[in-house]
Amino acid sequence: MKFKSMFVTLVVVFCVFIIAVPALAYVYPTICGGQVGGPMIMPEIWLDGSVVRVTDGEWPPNDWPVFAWSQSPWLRALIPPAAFNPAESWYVLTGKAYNFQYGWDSALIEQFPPAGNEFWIEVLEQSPGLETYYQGGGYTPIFGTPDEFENPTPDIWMWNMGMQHNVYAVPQTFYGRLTASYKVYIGNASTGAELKNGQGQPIYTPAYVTFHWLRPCPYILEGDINYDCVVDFFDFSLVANQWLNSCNGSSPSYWCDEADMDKLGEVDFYDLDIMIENWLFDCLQTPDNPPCAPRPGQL
Amino acid sequence: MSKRRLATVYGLVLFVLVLVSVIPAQAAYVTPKIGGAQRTHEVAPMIMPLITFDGDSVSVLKEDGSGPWETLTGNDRPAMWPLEDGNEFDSAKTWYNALNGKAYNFQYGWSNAAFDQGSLPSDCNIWIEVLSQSDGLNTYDRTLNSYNPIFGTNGLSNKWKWNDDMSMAHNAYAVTPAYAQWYATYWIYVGDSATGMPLPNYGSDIVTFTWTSVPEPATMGLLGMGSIYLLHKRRKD
Repeated sequence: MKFKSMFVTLVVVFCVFIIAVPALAYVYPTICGGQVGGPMIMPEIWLDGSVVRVTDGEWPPNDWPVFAWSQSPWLRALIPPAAFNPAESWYVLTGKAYNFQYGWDSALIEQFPPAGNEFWIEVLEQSPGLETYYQGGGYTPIFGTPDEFENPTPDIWMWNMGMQHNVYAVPQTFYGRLTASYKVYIGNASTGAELKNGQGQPIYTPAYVTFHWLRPCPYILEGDINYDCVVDFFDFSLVANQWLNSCNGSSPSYWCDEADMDKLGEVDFYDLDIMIENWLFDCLQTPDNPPCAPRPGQL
Repeated sequence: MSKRRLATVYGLVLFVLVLVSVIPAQAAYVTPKIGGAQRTHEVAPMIMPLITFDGDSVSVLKEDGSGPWETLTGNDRPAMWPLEDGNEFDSAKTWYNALNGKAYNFQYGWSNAAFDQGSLPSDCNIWIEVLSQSDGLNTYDRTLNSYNPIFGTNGLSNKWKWNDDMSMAHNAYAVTPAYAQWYATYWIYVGDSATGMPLPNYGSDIVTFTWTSVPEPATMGLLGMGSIYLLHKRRKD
């Protein structure tokens, strides 16, 4: 009798476990993060005489723009039961929101670095917590992203002139704006040291580019300019930076870095008023608050 | 409408079409775009067959990894588009010889997003060999903006080595503009890095790419005229 009841209990526990723990479905990383596909974004690197250029793919080319935040690629996390296989190199993206739409490309290249030199990319500045992985190298960390021993990787990376969609990632609990600024230069193929003349000046003028990404708050909250789910002093500082600036919806101002919330062409008291209305509302803590409206689209 | 008047209308339409195709517009140099003509990523997104290797076998999966690659059919097929009137390629550029006067597309891109490099034996690479393809289909390797002919184009080898680091590769496919459908069937296998000789102990995969081609303006006009005529005839009957 005792054995029978134990057996029944075990079966019940097993069934509850099966129901409660959904089976993991192993998936592959997709370009827009999570399991979302979408277009590539291709900064074209090429040499224009003695100048390194990063441009769009048009002819004549336009220098690579800095995207408005609302038009920047989104980092997305997997939604369970989707999961990455621990045996695969992309398992490093587990628990992270990621995206690899940006892809360094060589579609306009005609002139190559001199013998013994290559194109190098140096990260000059980036948002804390932003990680970068080189897909072509088996998802190896680059640009300061800690390696498996938690040691930071070098801030330079040699671009081999292939189409390289590095993967950018943050912990999935992070919400907000993300940015990274890069210098693209010609350097020694082995060391990455910039190629310079006798006076210590670069022989090839480097290019500078900035990428933007968003890991948007799952709720739309007026006044939450930086998309981190709360209206606070970080948003206030963005308004202060743009105070009384005039702007419009076109690049590069794009509504004064989106501090012109009412889109009336100036950052003024009307915008401050919007911010004060929702001051210190936190949509992650209290998502039922009326100002917190679920953000459409797959996050 | 009398037969004579109808003939005059058709004659005039034909004359305008011929005039439009003969008189070149002021041309602007442009760069090749992923969807052919000047169709960018936004209207012609990339199509990414995922090449994977599990240590034993090469497989090609659908873009979302949800199963084996499936040949695209119907409207899912990418279309080869020629440049529109008023656009042209600069004859000094690498893509000129490959794409000038042709309809083209490079939406298909072999993807490494699901490829674990660590699993590939040393001195080996992933090779792709074209087994069969439509007559007149030309393929160009866009690595380093070279537009080198591959896959039998210009009588060259049918084999092509995927980049050493297996980075994403969008080869360009080009055809003489015509209203037609195109295909190419590829064998994807593990081969010797230098020679491309298949290594017998590894499994391989076979996939087919398909394309449609859009009619050039004059052909489209003739097709339109034909349709009008047929409609007219049907109504009359």
